[in-house]
Amino acid sequence: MMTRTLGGIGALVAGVIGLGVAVQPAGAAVLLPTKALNYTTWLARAMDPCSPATVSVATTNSPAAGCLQSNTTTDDSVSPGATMKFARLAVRKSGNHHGRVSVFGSGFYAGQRMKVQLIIRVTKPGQTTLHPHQVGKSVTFQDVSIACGNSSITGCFTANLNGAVAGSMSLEDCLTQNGEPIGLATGNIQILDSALVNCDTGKVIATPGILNF
Amino acid sequence: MKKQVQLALAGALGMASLVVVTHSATAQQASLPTIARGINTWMARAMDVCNPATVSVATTGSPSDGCLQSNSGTTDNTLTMKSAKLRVTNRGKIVLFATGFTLGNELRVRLTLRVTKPGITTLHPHLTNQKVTFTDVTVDCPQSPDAFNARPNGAVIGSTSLDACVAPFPGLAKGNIEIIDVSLVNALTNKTVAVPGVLR
Repeated sequence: MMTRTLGGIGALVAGVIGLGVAVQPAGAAVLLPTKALNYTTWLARAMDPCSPATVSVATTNSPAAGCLQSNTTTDDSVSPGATMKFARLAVRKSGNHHGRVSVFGSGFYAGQRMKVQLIIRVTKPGQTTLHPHQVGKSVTFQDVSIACGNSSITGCFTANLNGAVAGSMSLEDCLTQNGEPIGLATGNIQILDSALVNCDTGKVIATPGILNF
Repeated sequence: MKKQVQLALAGALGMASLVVVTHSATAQQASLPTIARGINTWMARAMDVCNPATVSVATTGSPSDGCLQSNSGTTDNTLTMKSAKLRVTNRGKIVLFATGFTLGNELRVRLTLRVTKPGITTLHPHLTNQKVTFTDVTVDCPQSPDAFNARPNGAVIGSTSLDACVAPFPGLAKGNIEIIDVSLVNALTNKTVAVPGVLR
């Protein structure tokens, strides 16, 4: 009797495990983290990529080849290009429950217009899908590129007369400004790329980084 | 007298054209900023890219299509993670604090950097005190075979220096350092566990 009971329990456990394996999606999926509050970064000046290297370098401790600094595909300092002393950007979870994108910087031309460009990949749990019809699924959406700026007219942040910029907007408003659904403001939001872009030239002024001398 | 004036004018024009030619041969260069103190970010879990979308989505407020979450491509599906926070300071210190892992897990911080340094001497052509941008490099911190190891309580606490990460070129730890890409990778599978982001 004892043997039969144990056998039955064993079969039940095996069945449950088998069911668990069967319902696991083809592409194994991991659980979302429990906490990720904000993304804060200072910005280094953006330079053109060096590929291939065009000059030999004789300075010790540096690679043997590189390129003379160039800002052709990136923004330069000649107006309408931007000057910059420093800049910092943040994406925060909070902000009246709408998420917040903010930028703070100085050393720009008075009236310089710029926007925060983000590429995000959002995964949301509890989604209902059609074709096939499933409920409570975790869905990853296609990457979206959005440009955030708090002016409803230009879609840009603007430096004041002192050349400083300090502005913010909700992530939901930024998504709406870019024609994206506000549902992308919640979930597991991967920030794949961020940059400060000159609204006048469309070129990247700065990217996350450090200045270390 | 008239001929001397003509010669002088011709000389002046020649100098002016030389200046123009010299200027146009030099590419536009943006000046470096004065401060950039690095990144201080929480990490979101890395998921496989969705391209193209494979399912229609009926949930209000969401895009109309997407993909069932997957972690079988370039992203890791073997480690658990509750949270992770990464800091890269302007002094070149890389600090990781994470929870929810399992004893035995090994992690590395992977950075893609584009470094521009002033005061460089170049050969072919021979120039001094130039600002040079180097080819993008992807480095692991710490470098293999080292890694940040999970403790018995699942926490990962580690720090290293950018100097060590960019070896054998410690010069790449100085200058205007663009951090083009950041991720946390599983040292055993080489797959991405997490990237900067927020959870809302």
